[in-house]
Amino acid sequence: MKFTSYIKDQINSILAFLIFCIIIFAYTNALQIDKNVIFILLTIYSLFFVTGFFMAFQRKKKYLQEIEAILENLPEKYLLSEVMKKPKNSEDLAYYKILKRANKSMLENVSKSQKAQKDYKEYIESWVHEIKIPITSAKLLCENHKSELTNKMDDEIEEINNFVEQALFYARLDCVSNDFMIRKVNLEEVIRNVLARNKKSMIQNQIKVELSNVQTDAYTDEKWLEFIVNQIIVNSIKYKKEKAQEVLIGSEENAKNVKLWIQDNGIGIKPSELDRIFEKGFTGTNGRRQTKSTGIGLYLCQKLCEQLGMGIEAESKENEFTKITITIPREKKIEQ
Amino acid sequence: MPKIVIVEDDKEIREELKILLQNSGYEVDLITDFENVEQQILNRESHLILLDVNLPQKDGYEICSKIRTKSKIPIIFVTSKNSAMDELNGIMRGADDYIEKPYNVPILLARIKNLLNRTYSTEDQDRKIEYKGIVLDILKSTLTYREKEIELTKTEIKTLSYLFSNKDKIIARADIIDFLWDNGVYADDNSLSVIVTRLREKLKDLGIENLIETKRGQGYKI
Repeated sequence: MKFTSYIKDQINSILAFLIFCIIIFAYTNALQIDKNVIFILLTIYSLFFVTGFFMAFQRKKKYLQEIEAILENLPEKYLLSEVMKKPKNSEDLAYYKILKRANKSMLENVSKSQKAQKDYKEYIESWVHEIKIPITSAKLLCENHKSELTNKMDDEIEEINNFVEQALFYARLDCVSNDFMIRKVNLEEVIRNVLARNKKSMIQNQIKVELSNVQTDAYTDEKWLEFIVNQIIVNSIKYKKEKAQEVLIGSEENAKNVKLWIQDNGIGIKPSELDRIFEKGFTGTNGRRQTKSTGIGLYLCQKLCEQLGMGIEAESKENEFTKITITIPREKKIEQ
Repeated sequence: MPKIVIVEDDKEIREELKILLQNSGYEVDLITDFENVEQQILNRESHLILLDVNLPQKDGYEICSKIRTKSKIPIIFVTSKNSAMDELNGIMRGADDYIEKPYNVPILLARIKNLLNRTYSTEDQDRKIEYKGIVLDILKSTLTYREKEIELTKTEIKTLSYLFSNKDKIIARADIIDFLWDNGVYADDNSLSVIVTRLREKLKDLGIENLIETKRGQGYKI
């Protein structure tokens, strides 16, 4: 609060004071009272007024500063009225009560939508759980009745499964309750699981995979990492060149992290689009050429990495290669 | 023949899983009445249990805990619940493994086999395969013929053992590639040709020629 604006606010009482002084002066003057006496009396009166004026300003300023300090340290600003002291001043008290009512209604709305979000997430979780049962039996049926047709069906079912998983992880994204568990994970096992999942389409697409130095441990959530690696591998299959597609997977360690990289020699990404591939809904030239792109896969990867304290970045040269590097902590970080 | 009990309430999955496991050389027993499952399991004297989590009466976790009070029989949870907490919950109840639905069939079979081997130490006895006097030692990764021995790479061993175990049949290239992928070698058509060429050279060094026949447009035959 600025002093000048306070003066502006108090302009009425200042004017009243001045008018009062003039009236007193005129009246006492008419009564022919000694001018010195009048002068002394008015000076004392003014001193009282000015001191009172300043004190009131200081008190208000301090009070507002206190509230602002509380607000500054409060992560959920809308909880202010729950935290601030109840004021003594009757005017402040009235505002305090108004604020409290407004906040209460806000709080109700916030918890209502939080609950709705939680309910929806739980519904997605159970829906995914349910739909995986027919997916499982369909896959088993394909396995037990191998033919060219069931091979193709199996491919399609795996794609359905992939979309279902995307929905599940999307629902898990911005949730208060974290569904992950950081522990020691063997990278090779995760990679082999992903390759086993994509075996059929990788063989059909004549893709060769080479692993180098992946027998490494890192601290992350196994299922989340598997999901992320799977999205990247699925992209490598999708954006391959006509022939001789290769996927190289390897890792490097430094003192703090393991860098897991997945490189393909596919169609690559335009330099102008490289910065945007992790954006939600971004499909780019490659994605538009393909009808099945949604721009969700890599967005999810980046969000999930963020939550797990991992990094993800992409390098690419158009028509030559795409390399995605995931940085995973080597040690278990202490939760804050 | 190891016996596996399947506890799964979805009929389709149960029946198909039974066929799959029978085709892979296991005896299979199904639980179809979900009253007092743990007692039924204990009565059946099996070697391994595939246990679903969501079941009509008691959930799989509870059944697992109850079995653990009486038996150390290997238990694998097979469920579509896939969060880390679910898995932890399963392991805490004393399960030996946890596999997510929809499972990858080769992975499921490998885990079953590993667990059976670990528990009953029935590691494959025939680590050596012999054919026409040619001995393939899988553990040592060597090939012996007329007292001459040469070393093979892991990839070569896997390819040759698959050919040996399918002798007198024409084996499609795609089947060999599929087998290699299931065994951690991620080859494509070209790399298979390279592997077979190398194998033929090594066999020639041992004095064996024309063992691996090429059937044009079909595959290989031993």
